[in-house]
Amino acid sequence: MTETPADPAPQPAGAGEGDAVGAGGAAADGEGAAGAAESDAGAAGLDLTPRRREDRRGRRPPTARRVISLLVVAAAVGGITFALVRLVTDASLFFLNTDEAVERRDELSGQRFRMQGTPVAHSVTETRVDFEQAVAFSVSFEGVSADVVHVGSPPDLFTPGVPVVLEGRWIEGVPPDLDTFACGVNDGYYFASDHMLVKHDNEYRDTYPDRLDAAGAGGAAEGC
Amino acid sequence: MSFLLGRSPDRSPPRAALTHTGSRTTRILGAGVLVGVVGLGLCAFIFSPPDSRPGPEAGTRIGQFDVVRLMYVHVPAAIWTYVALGTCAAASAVYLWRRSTWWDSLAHACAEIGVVLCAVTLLTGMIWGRPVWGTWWEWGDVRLVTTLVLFLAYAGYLALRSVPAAPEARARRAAILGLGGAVLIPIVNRSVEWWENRTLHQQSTLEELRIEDLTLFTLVLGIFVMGLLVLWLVVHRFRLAWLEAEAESAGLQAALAERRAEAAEPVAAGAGEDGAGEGSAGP
Repeated sequence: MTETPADPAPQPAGAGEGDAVGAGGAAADGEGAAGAAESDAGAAGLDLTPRRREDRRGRRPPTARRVISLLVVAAAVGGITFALVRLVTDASLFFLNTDEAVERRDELSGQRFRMQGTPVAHSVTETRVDFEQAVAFSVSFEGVSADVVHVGSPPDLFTPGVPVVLEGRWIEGVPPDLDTFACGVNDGYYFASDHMLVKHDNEYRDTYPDRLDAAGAGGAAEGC
Repeated sequence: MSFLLGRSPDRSPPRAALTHTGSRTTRILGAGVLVGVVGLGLCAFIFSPPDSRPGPEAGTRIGQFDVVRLMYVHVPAAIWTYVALGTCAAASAVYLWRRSTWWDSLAHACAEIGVVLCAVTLLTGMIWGRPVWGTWWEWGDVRLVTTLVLFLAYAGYLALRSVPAAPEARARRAAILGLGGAVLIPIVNRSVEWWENRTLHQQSTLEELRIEDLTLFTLVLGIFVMGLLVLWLVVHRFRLAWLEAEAESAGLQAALAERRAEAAEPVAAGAGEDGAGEGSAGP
């Protein structure tokens, strides 16, 4: 630059960072545009000082846009951090399949964890625990079964044959108001659950096309 | 791609040619999308059956029933989210190599469409999850949370792009984030396999082809139609990004021309009239 402009007016916030705003309304950071302009101006002797805010002709000041954009960036970073912390916290709860949960029953005594399994046919019985609605049933995974008492309303699609994920702990003994689990293991332990989710599988085919006829004729397995 | 998006400035500047985002190609593509959406709607809501199979107990049926119809939007949206954001990452990588506005505009367009698709994926998944799983959201599920992180990462990418800066600096920092964010895509996609039996979200149906007949056809049709829609959107958004870059460049050129005009004015006039206001007193 061959000229040093003398602008007594205070620079608007952001202008000092190199926002050069022209009549066309384009804002450009000093890093690129001003640098290019400087070489251009060296010979021409151009005035390269940033224009004042009122010269920007109604356009939203870049400072406001910068603040809003940076707030959104910060919100995204905060959201990612929150989501990952929640994931790690929630995932820290043991997630065991029924066979693993039965195998590690002594180790898990009194500990809260998640258990996955498929409700066994003809095992679902409605009951009550401490005057609350409950459902007793058995779940199975890889051929190993366990008895469950879930307190609360089960999800709409809860039914035998559709896997569920239960959250709770092992209890030794038998649940009140229930002598035995229908079609259950009845081994002196049951899983007391207070949170149930249905885990739908990825099967969209009719895997047992013959079963419909059998079911219609009442010929499907009716016992345990 | 050059036929649809205009030529790369490295070969031929399309500045004179591109004045708006529509063209004969996009109109044909748009008509195809409309026909496809109607066909998909008919297949998804009328022709395809609800998901219902005999259960293990006599007379019972299991399945997702009518909720399965959400799959014809949810799965295609998820697949094209990966494609759009993957393309954004690839275009970002090429930008860092070639420093071409063309690739930066493509990355911007793909990121924007990818974020919208990711939002559709999350929303349809939540709507599906309430009746099927019994919950809108599960923080402990890796697939759900990593998809949310992917959405937030590229939403942050778009916010970063809107921070006022020189075009080159803005494009460079966006390209770094666009490329880095792509590491999430395989994590999201493979999470249900890597954490198999540890997630609520089901495994891929298409990979194991556990789907058949009209249900399979409708899902494939949904993927195809969504692909056409994404292409149509990306072409328009790319051209808009290109025009924005052109407008920005034109604004800068106009500003420089204005300053040149001021510098060319007689020194006496300049000193007397705008010395205090514009601060451009000559020696």
